Amino acid sequence: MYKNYTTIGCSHKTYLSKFLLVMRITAIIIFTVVMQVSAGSFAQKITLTEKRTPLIQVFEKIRVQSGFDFLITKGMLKNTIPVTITVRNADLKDVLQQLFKNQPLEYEIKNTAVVVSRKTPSFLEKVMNSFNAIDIQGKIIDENDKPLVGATILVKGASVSAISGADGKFSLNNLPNNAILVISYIGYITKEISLSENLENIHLIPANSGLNEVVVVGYGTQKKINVTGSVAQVKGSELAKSPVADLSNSLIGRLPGLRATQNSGEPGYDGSSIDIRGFGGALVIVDGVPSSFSQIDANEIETFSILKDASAAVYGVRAANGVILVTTKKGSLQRASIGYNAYYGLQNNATKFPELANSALYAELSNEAAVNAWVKLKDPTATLSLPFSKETLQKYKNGALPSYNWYDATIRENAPMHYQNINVDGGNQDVKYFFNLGYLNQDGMWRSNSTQYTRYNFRSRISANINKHLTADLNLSGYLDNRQTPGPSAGKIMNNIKRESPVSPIYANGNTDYLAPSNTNSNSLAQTDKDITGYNSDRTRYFSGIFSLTYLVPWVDGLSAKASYSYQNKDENNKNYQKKYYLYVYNEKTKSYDQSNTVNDPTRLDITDYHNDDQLFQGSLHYEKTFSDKHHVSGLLLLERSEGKSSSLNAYREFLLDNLDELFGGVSQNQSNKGSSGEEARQGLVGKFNYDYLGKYLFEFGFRNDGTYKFAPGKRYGFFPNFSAGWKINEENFMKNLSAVDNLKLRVSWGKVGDDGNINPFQYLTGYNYPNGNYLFGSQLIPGLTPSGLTNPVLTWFTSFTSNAGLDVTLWKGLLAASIDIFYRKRTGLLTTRVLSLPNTFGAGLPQENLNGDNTRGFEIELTHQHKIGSLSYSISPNVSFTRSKSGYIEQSPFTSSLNNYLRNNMGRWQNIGFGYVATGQFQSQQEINTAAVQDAQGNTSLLPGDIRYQDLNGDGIIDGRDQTVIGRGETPEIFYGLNLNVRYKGFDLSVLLQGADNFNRYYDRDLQNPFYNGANTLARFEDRWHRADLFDPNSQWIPGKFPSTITSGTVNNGLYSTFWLQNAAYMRIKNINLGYTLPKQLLQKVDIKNARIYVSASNLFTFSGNKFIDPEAPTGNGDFYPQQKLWTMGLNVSF
Amino acid sequence: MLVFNKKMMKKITIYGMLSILLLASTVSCKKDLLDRLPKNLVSENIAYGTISGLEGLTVTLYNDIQIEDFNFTVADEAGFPSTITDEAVRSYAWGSINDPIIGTNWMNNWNYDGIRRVNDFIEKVPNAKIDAPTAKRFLAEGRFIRAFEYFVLVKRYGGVPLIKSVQQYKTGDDVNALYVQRSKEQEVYDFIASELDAASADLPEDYNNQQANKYRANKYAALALKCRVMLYAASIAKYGTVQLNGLIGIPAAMADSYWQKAMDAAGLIINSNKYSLYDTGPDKAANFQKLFLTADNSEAIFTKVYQSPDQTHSFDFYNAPQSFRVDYGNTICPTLEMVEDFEYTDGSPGTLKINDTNGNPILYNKPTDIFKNKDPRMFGSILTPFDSWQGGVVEIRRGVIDNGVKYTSENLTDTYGGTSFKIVGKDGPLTTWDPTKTGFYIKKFMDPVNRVPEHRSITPWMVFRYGEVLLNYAEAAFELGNTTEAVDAINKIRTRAGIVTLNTITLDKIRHERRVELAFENHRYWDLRRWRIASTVLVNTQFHALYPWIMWQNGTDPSNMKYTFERAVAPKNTRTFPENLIYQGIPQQNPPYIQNPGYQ
Repeated sequence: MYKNYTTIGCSHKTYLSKFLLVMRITAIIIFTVVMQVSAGSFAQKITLTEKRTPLIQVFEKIRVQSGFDFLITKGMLKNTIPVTITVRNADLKDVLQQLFKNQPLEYEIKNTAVVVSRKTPSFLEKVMNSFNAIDIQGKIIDENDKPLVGATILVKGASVSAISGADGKFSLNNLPNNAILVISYIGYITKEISLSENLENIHLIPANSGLNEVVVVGYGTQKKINVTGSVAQVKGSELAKSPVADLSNSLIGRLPGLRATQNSGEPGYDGSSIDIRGFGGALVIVDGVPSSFSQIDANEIETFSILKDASAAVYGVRAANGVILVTTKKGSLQRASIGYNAYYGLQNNATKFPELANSALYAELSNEAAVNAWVKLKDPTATLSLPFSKETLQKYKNGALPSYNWYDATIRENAPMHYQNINVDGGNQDVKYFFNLGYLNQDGMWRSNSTQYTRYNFRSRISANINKHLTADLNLSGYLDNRQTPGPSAGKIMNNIKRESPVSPIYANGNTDYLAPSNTNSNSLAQTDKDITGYNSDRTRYFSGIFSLTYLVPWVDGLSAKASYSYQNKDENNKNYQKKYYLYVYNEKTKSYDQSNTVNDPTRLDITDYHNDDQLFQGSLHYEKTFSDKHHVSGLLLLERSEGKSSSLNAYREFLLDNLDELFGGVSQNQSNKGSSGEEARQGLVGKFNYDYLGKYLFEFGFRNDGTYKFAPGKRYGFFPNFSAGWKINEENFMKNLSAVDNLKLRVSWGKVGDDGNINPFQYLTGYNYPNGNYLFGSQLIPGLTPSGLTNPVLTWFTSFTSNAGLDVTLWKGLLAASIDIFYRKRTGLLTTRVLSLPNTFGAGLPQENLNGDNTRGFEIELTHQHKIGSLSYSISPNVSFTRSKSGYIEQSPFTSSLNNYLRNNMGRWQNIGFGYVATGQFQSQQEINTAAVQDAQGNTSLLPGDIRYQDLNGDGIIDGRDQTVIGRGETPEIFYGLNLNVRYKGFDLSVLLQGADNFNRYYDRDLQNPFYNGANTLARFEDRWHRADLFDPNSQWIPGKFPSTITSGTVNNGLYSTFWLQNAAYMRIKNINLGYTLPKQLLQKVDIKNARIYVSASNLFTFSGNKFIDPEAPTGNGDFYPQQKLWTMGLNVSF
Repeated sequence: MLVFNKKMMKKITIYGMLSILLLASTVSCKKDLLDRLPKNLVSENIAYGTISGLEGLTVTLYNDIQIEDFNFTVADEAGFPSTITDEAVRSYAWGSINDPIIGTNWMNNWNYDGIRRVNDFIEKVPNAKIDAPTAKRFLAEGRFIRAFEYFVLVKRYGGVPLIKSVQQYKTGDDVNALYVQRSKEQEVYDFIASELDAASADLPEDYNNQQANKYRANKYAALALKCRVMLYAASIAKYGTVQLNGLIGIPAAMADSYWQKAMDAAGLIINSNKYSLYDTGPDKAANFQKLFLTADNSEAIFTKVYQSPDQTHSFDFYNAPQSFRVDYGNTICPTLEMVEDFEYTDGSPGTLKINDTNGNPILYNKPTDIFKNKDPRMFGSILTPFDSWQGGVVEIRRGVIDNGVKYTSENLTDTYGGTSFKIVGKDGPLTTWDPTKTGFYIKKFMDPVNRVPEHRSITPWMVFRYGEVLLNYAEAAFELGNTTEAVDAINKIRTRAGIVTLNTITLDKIRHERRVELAFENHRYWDLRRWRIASTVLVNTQFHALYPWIMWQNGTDPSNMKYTFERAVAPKNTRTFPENLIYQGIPQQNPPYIQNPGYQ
């Protein structure tokens, strides 16, 4: 209970110690008074000549001259001003007066000692406090009650500090009992706590404001507050909340600027197509190595970040579309803990799929189509024959005759999915480790359960300090996955289901042993069943190993060197087995089942093995240092070389014996084998330099000199620089008083990036392509040799220039934060061939050249509001991004007419637009048809009331190609938005992700537009159509409806690409809701569980869209797709 | 544990790091890391240095020729030339090939890429490192192929630029120097004729002693091509008009010399006695059907053969009748007009007997009876209702007539009344969806035994057959006034066919014989063009279908019920051949070519 004074040259150490030890407060007060009086009697003479000398050195000189000791603590010297003084034989008293003037200190002379203290509180309080000093211990934990290792604990106003240890614990001694602890940790909100509060569990709340967050950037990390590029990041723990098989589906809505569209719900193939800012496919880097991320177990991921602007330039010739950086978890400094995560879910089909007609509607519309066809003949002598008599139709309507629901027969309500994961996380100062094992099983919607996706993931990361300077890291990971589906593709099956007639039985004579041919001659039920039709299986084995050594160069402070080697191996085995099967009809005469159809004849097997090897070497030097507390510099030089080899082997056999799905079981007829092989290589030199002054002015310069194997020598290397700068305005003096503003940063960046992604390699080489085609001159097939054509020795990558400006604001300690980015990307050198410069008799096309251009612009806004009211804490963060692209220069032949120029000249035109006809409603009567502009090239004689009427834009009385105009957007959404809501109350946590997209259209044609298209069934929604009051009477009155009257396969008139069918696909989805409960600690401690949380989750729960009949993300086309699924799950996270 | 002192440790780590960095910069530095080569590119030394290289090169050249075989599609997937003539309609409802006016771009084939390749070959073969006689043969093949390529062009576009050597260009060169004007149509025909004369002189009579080369072009392939080319030139001279200073059209005065050249070339083939009409037995229908299924027959002059799985076509896949298809199927539906153009064996007109003389429908005990005594070639070319096929029957029925009321359906699965009897036959016809629209399917070229999946058909394609040579000969002879030769040649054809011979001959009869003998062999479209009758034969032409109806009798087994027939409008658009399509439009460029009429 005493304070350890530092004495300067103290000759009375023991005395003083004792003195201070034994004194009681009252005694000191008396003693002090005495001393003050007696001090006056000393009159030592001091001589000093000092210029900007630290105070403490001056004290030392005075001590030598006067014999007076100075009692002072080290901490007091903080903020003292160096002394400039010139005195000759001056009184000690006068000298001290002069010395302490302007210093934040005061002094008393006691005996032969000068006792120095802080100016306020008064000496008395100071001394009293010093006798109340206490020792404390505490523990710092995160939002999941996990210990936070390495948090900084500062005592406010003092220089005492501590760092939390492996268990999150810390201790501090001799604190005044009114001390305030300031606890900070990267990525968490800095917390102030008084000693009277509970120090045993000091909760830190993650700083969603992100000010202290560390973000992963190109070849390194950076505090978010210092980032000058445009980067967005999400934590792996956030992604792990949405239980989805394919990681790409949990990203949407979470990162402004990252756009994703999910086109399918098929297990193993349901990944979203992802891009950054609408730029096109982005480069994916996992732990520093080009790779892919969608099959990674979400529980392995630490952070997921995207480089949206020119900061991607350090990745060179493949980074023009932005870079996705995935960082996996490392071991943390803690005693080993085992985590177990599991969930079980039901995929509930489908978010939305058009309902098909039942037999009654089918029969009714079939008859209507026959009547309309007869009417259109305009030949009263032709006989009107109907497919269904009045009586039969009535039987379908009252259920006397059955309706076969093929959708329900083949597709089940719910398909299960489950996931289990176990991981070990721990480490000490020398070794840290993280092990993860994940298993996922996802079943498909077919009743046959023939679609299945399974995946095993593993990761093992070990980081060991070999000595003080050298660290070795080993990061091994891999997955084994297997996608199994029935032989026909999901799209083909869905197409077939839509075609199946509801009056056509599924089984012959109702006997489930004999499938009936149905009107498709293939029977959808058979097609969904791998035991009948065969299967397609796709097995991937992927392994990745990254080994690296980091060396902290001891004789240069701040310099480190790193070398790393990575090997990736991917083996994919695709097996397509199509099995012969039979369909039967029941022969009433013989009471037997006769084979009516043989499908998939002969049985066949097609196997392809793909093999990929990639190696990457990186060697780098990294330097980081702060000079004079003001100039912070860091730099990186890195050499990267990569090599990839790929090959494939394919074999095909046909079978006589049907149930042996192995190559050796096949016959020799028609057998074939093929193969391919290729290699690629790249290398680059990367440099990156950061400088900031007082953390106020931030600069970054990066470059990459990158080379690719694709082009001719001399055209392989490119230099890609990028610059960015940031200004933290809130650090300026004029802002300092605005306590509401925690952060206000302006960012700008510019850079040049390359893109060799879609360019065929070796376009500079001439020769003869082999083999190219075959011909039979006799009995043996001779493979062909074909001249390769004109070459382009100067072909090179596309060049992309990206500019970005952004503003980050954080107000009221993170209560409100906002980040705004605007960007513009211009691309030049897109490949095309020159038009018409060579005569078309030349006989060889010009090679591709870097001629075309385009540009893309847009913005992103992200807002975050977080707050805590009592035990309730919540955060809400909406984001929106907008992107639009315009074609730049386009090499094209001149247009011969202004109409063609209008319809086809895309130079300088916005992309993502659609041309078509403007529908102005439906014809209400025959009179209206007779007086309207001619739109069927037959004087409107083919039209019926209810048919679509088009706008005659050029007023020439004829509807034709000249009346087309821009009627909507293309199928790429220009606006994506999302909203993340997190609420925590006591043990409960709730997160909600809303996501939407806008400014895009979808167009569904064929059977989604025309009843009975090409022999298909029709949609239930076509019931609401123009029809006659009496179906069987061609002359009866028309009753209006939403769609034109039924014509089999529709008419050309109604099928024109028009606003009538164009769907505004804008939507908003409740993408995910997750409600969790963390079990109370007390309960868990008894069973040695550190932490346990249970949760329920729902994905794709509701969708709000103007498109009511099909999922808004359903790809444009005819609905031949595996519909997106809803997913209900319940899960568990435990750690021991 | 090993003990290092600190200094050693430091040294080890430093040298370790340095050596790794060094390794990075030197590893595989024996060559530039970025120097890679594609694995499928072969050098010119190999291509022109060996017989096998030259064989590989000729593979590409033979494939370059548009021989209009099974893989020749028009306008849309599974669009065949016979579906844009008066031979057939297409069953599918989709595709621009259903447009009422034949598209002027559907037949485009501006294949100067192939011409460049063959010119390159012709220039390089003389210097190839192979023996001289073989080089001479390769050269002759090259000239045959180049002549064929120009024939493909001239019959489409009229006069085209004649490029006889490889043009060179490097980036920055003056492209205008490469520009070549269109030649006159006659010049192109003459160039082809002279090339074929040269080729036929150097090509071997046959490859019988070289089994590996037997489907290469021989002397008679060159003569057969010449015979056809000269026939075209003669027709154009006689029936066309010279326009654009001869860029299209040939002076009428030239007609006879071309007829003569056609007749001479055909005569050389006939007199060689190397070929004869395929005639293997009394079943004339089966004989005619088999002619198109066997590559090695007495009639084949130049044939493209196929081998599964690597060199195949999908003709069976696209054209199989509805219930015999693997997928797709049905494409070519022969029109009722085509069916009726096949005469009866006694030479009487082939009109089907649907109604009796009083105009009442004839009831047939068996639906096949209506085709009794038709030209056997019809049975070899067309699948008619209730024909047997691949072990089954092509069941073509439009519906049921019960008590005078007609019941039909647009679905093959709908059954009649309370029975399980299907209203429509399992093979159609329907007015929508895929099944036949005319009541007929194609039989010529089709595998009569097996269902053939996509890319598995190997039926050979006879580019030139003796039957055509006889027809060419007859036509040329008749046009030259040599009616005796003409009637002889036609009667050879009719005798083999199994119908009565002719005593007298007319141009119409020669053309009619050509239509039925060569049906679906992709001659008709070009014949209509060169005779300049396309736009009169096809002008808002509505084709017809034959609808068989079953006469329902309650309590009777359907196999015993009678059939009646209806001549119905085929549910397809009418067809018009636009006047300007006598020539295709020239693909334009800058500076432009003189364009053909009707394409401005």
